[in-house]
Amino acid sequence: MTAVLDYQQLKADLSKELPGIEIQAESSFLLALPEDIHHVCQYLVSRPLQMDYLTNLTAADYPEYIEIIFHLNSIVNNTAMTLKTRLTDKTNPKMASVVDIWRGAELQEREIYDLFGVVFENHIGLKRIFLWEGFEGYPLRKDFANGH
Amino acid sequence: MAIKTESFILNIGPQHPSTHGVFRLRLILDGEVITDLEPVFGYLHRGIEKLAEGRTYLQDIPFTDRLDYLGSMTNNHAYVMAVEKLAGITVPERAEYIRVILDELQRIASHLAGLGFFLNDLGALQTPLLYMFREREKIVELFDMCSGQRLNYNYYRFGGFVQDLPEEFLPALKKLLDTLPGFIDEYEQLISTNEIVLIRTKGVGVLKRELAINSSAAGPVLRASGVNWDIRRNDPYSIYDRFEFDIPTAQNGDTYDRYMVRIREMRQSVRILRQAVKDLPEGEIMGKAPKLLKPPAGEVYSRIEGPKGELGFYLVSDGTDKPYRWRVRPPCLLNLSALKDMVVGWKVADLMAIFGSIDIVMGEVDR
Repeated sequence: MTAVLDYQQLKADLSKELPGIEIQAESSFLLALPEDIHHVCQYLVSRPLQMDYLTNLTAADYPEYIEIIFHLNSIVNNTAMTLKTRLTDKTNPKMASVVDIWRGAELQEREIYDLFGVVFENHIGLKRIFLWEGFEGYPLRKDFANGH
Repeated sequence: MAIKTESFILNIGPQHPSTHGVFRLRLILDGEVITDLEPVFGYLHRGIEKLAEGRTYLQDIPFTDRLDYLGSMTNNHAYVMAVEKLAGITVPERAEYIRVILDELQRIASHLAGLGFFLNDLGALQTPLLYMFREREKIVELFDMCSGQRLNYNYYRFGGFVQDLPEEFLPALKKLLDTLPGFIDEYEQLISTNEIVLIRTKGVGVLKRELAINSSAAGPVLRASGVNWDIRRNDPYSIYDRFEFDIPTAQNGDTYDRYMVRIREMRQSVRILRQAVKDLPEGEIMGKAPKLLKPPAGEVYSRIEGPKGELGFYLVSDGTDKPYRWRVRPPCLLNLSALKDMVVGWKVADLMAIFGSIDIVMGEVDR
């Protein structure tokens, strides 16, 4: 059975290993700032946690921010965790790409860019994935008018 | 004197028999050798995630059928299980057994279709495909008996099923289980030691273990690269912890291994099915679930081992009758992440074999 990591413990470890990083431990996820996310991911993928498998990367649009959600697994340790970050600048949302850490992020980041308009800096080829270039707006944003 | 060559772009698809749907492969070629590849998606994008957010939880079940349409039963299961977790709905024992039975039948049906098309792509035109569809047809008939549909079943409900299995289902299933291993032997006789298949698949399109994990590959593609990872065993759901079965893996991560893992998985599915049929209890097939579901505010990520790999649903509820966020974790899309690494250096004809061995369905890739 996949064991979900203890977020309080994880927060304590991260604060020790990466001083200066602001991190929050909620009951079911770890919350980091967008500017720290790359560092946090690098730590998570290294030993001893070895979160080597990016199971799912997605986003959700809320009135105040766009939330980016990472569901991570360690194949070796059979552990799981959820990492989140919140982009409050909804007119120009951007954060560092994690494709250099997990190749599995490549297509999923393109998806988030396509449907939510989040720019992933240093992505190896950030462009729309499902919709055509020139499509106006980001359909999975809640303010996207689609006739509903 | 060396001959000067010039690289050129070749588009395969979006309409091509070997692209398994509307999918475009943009290749850069040096002669026949692939030097770069860019997969181009979106031709089948129907905005299912957006549509689902505008409808009730129950109305979203048919959308799941139309993702991987060769694995509709497992898609149904992954989704209803996520909603059940979100809303705290319990499923009766009999329904859990039926879910395992349908999921494993769906795995076999999906692998049969996948392998048939794979061999078709290799140039074994139609014959193996028709052999595989012969057995898939029997499974489709079983699904037709219980759901009234042959492709998009819409059979699962929150807490159980829309109706119980009909009387003729179990005898037909038992008959199928008696004959299926013989047919799998027959496919193996035809294919596994076939000289042409061996030459065209052994060592071709290797996906190394580290890259398979790093690129979030799932299912048979991941296990063929030597990773013993199966949600049924690593993060058990439903009642999978009650059954004895092995997780087939292979070491080389080549096209042949991906074929072989699927063959061996079908045998394990038969093994699970026999146990499930033997232990299937009588009783209710529907737990207590409100007609208009309003799960409490919260979120869930729930996953199953679908035929193509980890199929997950990330749902966010705001307490209303419609999901606030509805996300599919698509194994077919993520299995394409490492395609470029698998095909660069191989020839165009090998691309078809490699691509066929990943077994994708565009309904799920594009959503």
